[in-house]
Amino acid sequence: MTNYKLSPRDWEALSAYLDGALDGPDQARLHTRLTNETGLNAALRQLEQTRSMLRAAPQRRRPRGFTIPAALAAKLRPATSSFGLWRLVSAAASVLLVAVMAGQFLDGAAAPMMATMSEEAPQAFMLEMAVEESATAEDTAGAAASEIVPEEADLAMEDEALRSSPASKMPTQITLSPEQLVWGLVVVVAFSSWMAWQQWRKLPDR
Amino acid sequence: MDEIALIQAAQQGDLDAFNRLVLHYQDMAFNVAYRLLGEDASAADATQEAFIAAYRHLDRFRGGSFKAWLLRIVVNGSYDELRRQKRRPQTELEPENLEGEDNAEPAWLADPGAGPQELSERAELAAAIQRCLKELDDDFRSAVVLVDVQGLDYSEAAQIMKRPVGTVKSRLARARTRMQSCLQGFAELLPDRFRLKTEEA
Repeated sequence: MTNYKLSPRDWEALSAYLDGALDGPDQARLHTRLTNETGLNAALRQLEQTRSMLRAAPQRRRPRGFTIPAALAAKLRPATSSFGLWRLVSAAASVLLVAVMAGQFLDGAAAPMMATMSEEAPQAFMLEMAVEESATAEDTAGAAASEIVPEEADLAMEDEALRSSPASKMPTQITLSPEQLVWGLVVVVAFSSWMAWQQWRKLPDR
Repeated sequence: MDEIALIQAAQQGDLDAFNRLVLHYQDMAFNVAYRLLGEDASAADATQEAFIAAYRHLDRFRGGSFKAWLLRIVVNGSYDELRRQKRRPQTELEPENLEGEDNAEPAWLADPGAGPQELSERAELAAAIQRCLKELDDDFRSAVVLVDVQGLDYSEAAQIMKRPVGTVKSRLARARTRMQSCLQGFAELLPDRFRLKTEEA
């Protein structure tokens, strides 16, 4: 009898049986076993005794009351949770990441993805800068400039401006490899997820 | 007590209504915290913090069992406190006698009408249960405290633990068998009616 072994499932069934939490067929099956297996019956009685002991555990007397005084309540403003916001940011970043990765695969771009500015755009920008500079130079140029044909003067100024203006030192391309893009998004997703996790941990009823 | 009306009033900012809820649940909340933490001061702090958190986040309660919602906050707060204690272990301040055993705990003597023998037995039983609870894993301890010690049903315990009812059932079964093994070690100290008759098994 003392060697009677119960499986974890048996113990679980006995425990649920004690609380009347077994389904009809399971309860009937266990009931039959209990009438035939004295070891199982003894285990049930032991478990019942343990439960009785736990139920008889005296309640601990609390050392004080826990009502909230008005002075404290005045300081306790209702908490405003930014959990929802961070969850939204996290979700948006995740969607963006998936969209970018899907876009890359659909493009079949084996070569590095280039976010290239158009060729015309920087030149137009630089020309504009040059014309502005030349306008100030024109005021001090004097009579020598007036001898030159206007169209030629404009072209000469543009060429000079393109060579000497700070705008000519601007990069003409901004290159982002797929890895850089993905890593950037991963960082955003990780950060927003971490913030959401921190907010969630502060919830008392999480 | 019209609990729903009190909750609604408290959600509108009525502190008296909230404090009536506190008065109704404070014994249970403290006892759950005490069973999980095993110490009066920590349990009192965890209970107070739980009520403060409940007051601040009352707008998050959207119906259902207020008791389950509140005890969930108590259980979470108690486990936060346990984790803090594990990170910063402290020497226990419980009074001990010359043999190094805990002194009888007067806080258990809630019934002034009980005789000395009964009080002594209660104290022994309470101490034995508390020591055995301490040996259990967190989830097992929650299951046995909520269902067996506090008398909640499976579904309430499942809400508090945020676990499916099936999980609560299996954890409770394992917790009971572990408690049974552990309490057998205190057999000589327990009242006759609670001495486990292992020889019959």
